[in-house]
Amino acid sequence: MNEERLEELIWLEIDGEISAGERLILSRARRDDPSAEDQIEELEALSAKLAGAAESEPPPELFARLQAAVAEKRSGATNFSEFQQYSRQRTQSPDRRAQKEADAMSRNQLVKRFGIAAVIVLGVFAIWRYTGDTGPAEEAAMGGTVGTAERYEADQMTKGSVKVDQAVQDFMQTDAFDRITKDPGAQKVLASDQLWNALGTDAVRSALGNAAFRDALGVAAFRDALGVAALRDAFANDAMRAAFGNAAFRDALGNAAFRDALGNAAFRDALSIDAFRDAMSNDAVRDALGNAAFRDALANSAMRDALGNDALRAAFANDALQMAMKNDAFRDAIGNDAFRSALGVAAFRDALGVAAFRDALGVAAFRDALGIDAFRSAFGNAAFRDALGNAAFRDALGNAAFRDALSVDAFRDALGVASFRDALGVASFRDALRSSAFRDALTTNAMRDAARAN
Amino acid sequence: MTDKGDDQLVLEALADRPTAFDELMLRYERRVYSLALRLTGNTQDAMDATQTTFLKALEKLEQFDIKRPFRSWIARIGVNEALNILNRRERFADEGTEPPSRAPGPEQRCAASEAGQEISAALMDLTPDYRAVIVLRHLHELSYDEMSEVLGVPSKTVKSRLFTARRELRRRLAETDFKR
Repeated sequence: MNEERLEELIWLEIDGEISAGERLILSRARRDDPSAEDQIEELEALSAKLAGAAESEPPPELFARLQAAVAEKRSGATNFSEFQQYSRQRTQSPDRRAQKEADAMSRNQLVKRFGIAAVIVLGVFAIWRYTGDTGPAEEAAMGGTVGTAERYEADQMTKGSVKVDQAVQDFMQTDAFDRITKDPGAQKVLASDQLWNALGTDAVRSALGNAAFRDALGVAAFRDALGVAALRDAFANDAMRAAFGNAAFRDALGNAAFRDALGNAAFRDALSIDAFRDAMSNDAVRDALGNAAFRDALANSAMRDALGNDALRAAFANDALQMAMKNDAFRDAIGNDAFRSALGVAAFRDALGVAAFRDALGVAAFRDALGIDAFRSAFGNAAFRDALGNAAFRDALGNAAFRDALSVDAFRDALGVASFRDALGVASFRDALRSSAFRDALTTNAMRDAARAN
Repeated sequence: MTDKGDDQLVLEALADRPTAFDELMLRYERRVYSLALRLTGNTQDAMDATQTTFLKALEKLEQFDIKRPFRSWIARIGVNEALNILNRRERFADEGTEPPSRAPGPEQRCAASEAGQEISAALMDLTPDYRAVIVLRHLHELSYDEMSEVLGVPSKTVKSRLFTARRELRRRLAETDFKR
C-alpha cells in the first residue's frame, strides 16, 4: 500500500468515518508495515494538537455586544453603534488616520443620527463623573443639563437643525466632552451597546435624572440588562426607579430569570416593597423568578409581603416549593403567618412535593394548624404526609383534639394505616382524641385494629 | 445555563422568549467566535463575524429545521460570514487599500499557547477552503456529511479537501520546526 493511501485510511479511522472494509485493509497494513504505527501516532498527535488549539476564549465584551445587537434587531431601535464606533476610534486607536476619520464625522450628522439623547447622556456623564457625587448640587446641575438638552430639542423642532448643530458643537468643544472621550471609566460605560439602545426609550432617558440610576450604570450587569426590552419599559414605573437605590436589586440585574421577571407587571409593582427589594439579595429568590408560577404569585400582596420572611426566602431553593407555587391553595396560604413560619421547617418544605399536601393547603383549618409545633414537626413523618391525601384526615384537622394528638409519635405512625385514617371521618372518633389515655392507647396495635373495626 | 436542548431553546426563542436566544448565544458564542477567528485570523473580524452570524441566525430562525442539529446550522452561517469578511478583505486589497493585518493581535498572542500560535500561523497560510474544513472537523467536530451540508459541497469533496488540507498543514508545521 502506498503512503498516501495509508495516511488516508488513518485519517478516516481518527475521524470515525472508516468503513468496515477500509478498517480491514488498515489492520492488515498495521500488521505488514512496521512504519504504520509511527504514522498513526504522528497523525493522532496532530489531531490532538488541532483540537487543543481549536478553541479561543472570546473577548469578555463580546457577549454583551451580541445581546445588544440582537436586542436592537428585535426592537428596531435606533442604531447607535456608529456613534460608539466614533467614540472608540477617537479614544482607542493610536492610528492617526483613524482619529482623523473619526473627527471628520460631521457633528450635524451626529445629531441627525443619534438625536438629542446623545447630547443628554454625554452631559449626564460629564456631570456625574467630573462635577461631584450625588446630592442636591448634582441634581441641580443634572436638571440643568437635561433642561438644556431639552431646550435644544425644542429648538430643533422650531428653528431647524442649525442651532442644534451649534449646541452640540459647543458641547463637544467643552473640557467635559474631551475628558469623557479620554476617560477609560466613562468609556466603559459609554461603550455599552445596551446603553445606547436603551436611550431610544423615553422611560430610560427620563430615568437619567435619577441619581441611583446613574450610579447603577457603573455596574456591568446593569448595563447588560439594558438590552432587555422589559427592563427598559419598566423604567416608566416609579417603584422600579426607586429600586435602583438598593444594592441587592442592582446585583440581581445580572440574573437572567430576574430580567425576565421584569416583564411581569406584578413583579414591577412588588418592587415598591422594601422587603421585596431586599429579598433580591437571596440567590434562591432570584432563581425562583425563573418560575412563571412564582412570578404570577407575586400578584398576591400576601406573597409579596411574605418575601420579607427569611424562612420563605431560604425555602425558594427547594424544588418542591417551586412546584407548589403552581398551586392556587399554596399561593393563598402564603398569606397565613403560621404557614410562612412553617416554611422554616425542612420537613415541611419537603412535604410541599406531595400533591395531597399542597391540596390540603386549600383547607383553612389545615393552614391554621400550621401554627402548632406538633403539627409542623409531624411533616417529618412519611405516614403523616401520605395521610394528607385522605379527605377525612384533612377534615379532622379542624378538630383541636386531633391536632394535639399529632404530638404523639404513636398517633402519627398510626396514620400510616389506611383504615385508621378512614376512621378519622367519624366525628365520635375524632372527639375521643381529646382523651390523652385514648391517644396513648393508640401505641398498641390492638387499639388501632379496634379503631379500624369501628 | 439551562440543560434544555438546542431545539427547545429555538422553539422558545420563536415563541418570543428573549432569554432563550441569549442561551443559544451563550452556548455557541465561543465556538462561533473560535471558528471565525481561525478563518479570519483577526480578533476584530472574528467579533464582527460572530455578531453577524447570530443576527442572521435570529433573522432566519423560522427557517431552521428543528430536526437538524443547531450546531451545524450555526456553523454554516458562521463559515459564510467569516468567508464574506475574507472576501471583503481581498476586495480592499484589489482596490489598493491596505488590508487589516492577518497577524494575531497582542491579545491573541498573549492568550494562545505556543503550540496554539504555531497552529494558528500555519492555518492562516492555507487557503480559506482548506482552513474551513480543518476548523469544522477539529473545532466543531462535524462529520463529513455535516461538513458537506455546511459547505454546500459533496461529502467526497469534503473528504479529499480535508486530506489535502491536513497534508498541507503538516508540511507548513514541519517547515516551522525546521526553521527553529
